[in-house]
Amino acid sequence: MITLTWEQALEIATGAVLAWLNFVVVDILMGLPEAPGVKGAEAIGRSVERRGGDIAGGYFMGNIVCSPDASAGTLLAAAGYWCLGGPQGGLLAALTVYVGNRLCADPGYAGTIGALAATALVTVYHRVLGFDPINFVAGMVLAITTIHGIDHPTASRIIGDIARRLGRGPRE
Amino acid sequence: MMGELLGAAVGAVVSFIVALAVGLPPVQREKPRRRSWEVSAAFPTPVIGAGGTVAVCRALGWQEPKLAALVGAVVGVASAALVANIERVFPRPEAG
Repeated sequence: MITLTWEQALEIATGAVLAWLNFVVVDILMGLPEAPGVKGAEAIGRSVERRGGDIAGGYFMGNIVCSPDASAGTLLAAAGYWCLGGPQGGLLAALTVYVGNRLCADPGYAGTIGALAATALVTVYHRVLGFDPINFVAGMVLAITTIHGIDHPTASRIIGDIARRLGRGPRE
Repeated sequence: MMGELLGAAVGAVVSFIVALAVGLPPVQREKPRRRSWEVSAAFPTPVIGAGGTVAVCRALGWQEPKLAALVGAVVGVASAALVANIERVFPRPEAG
């Protein structure tokens, strides 16, 4: 039986908020909602748009699926921190994300910067707040579920709105 | 752990300096930078230098600060050389 204490729930919720802000802000600033990087990302974006979603948010989702972005960087950096016992795990994760980016026809800014920013966040989460880094990993899984696992049209409209406010709306 | 972090810092700094020495620009010259395939001393060289140092230290089991710093210096030079020739390893899509 899995038990969850209130302290763990608070740590997971804090991790989810930090992770969500990290990958959404980094991905939007790096231009994921502006245009699809590959044909698969365009197909996902158009599919989300046909179902009542926003094309900028759809491109964002498509680009996330087709190449390691800041969400992958956030998850891998947090897992790396936990596995190696410190920020060096996040640095190793950033290297693997960069290699993955280059293999996926992506110059690698969003994923790598997302991983490095997440490493800093997890370090604060662990060393300053005193939280268990594995709860940040759990929070990150919940954070990406809000984008890809509940309702694509609604999530795409929220992402599209934030992207336009930050000057990263679709280029077409 | 501190040895690895020291090594990673040495790897990042050495890779940045060597990248400048071999003629890479300090930052991407193409604008907007977020869509540029050009590489520079600032990106991705220190990422490869730091991450590569951690990987080598783990593989060799060298956690002592002096050994980790030595690994950082060697990996830093190798990282700059890799980035200077990155198109041969990871060609950009239109060239690949």
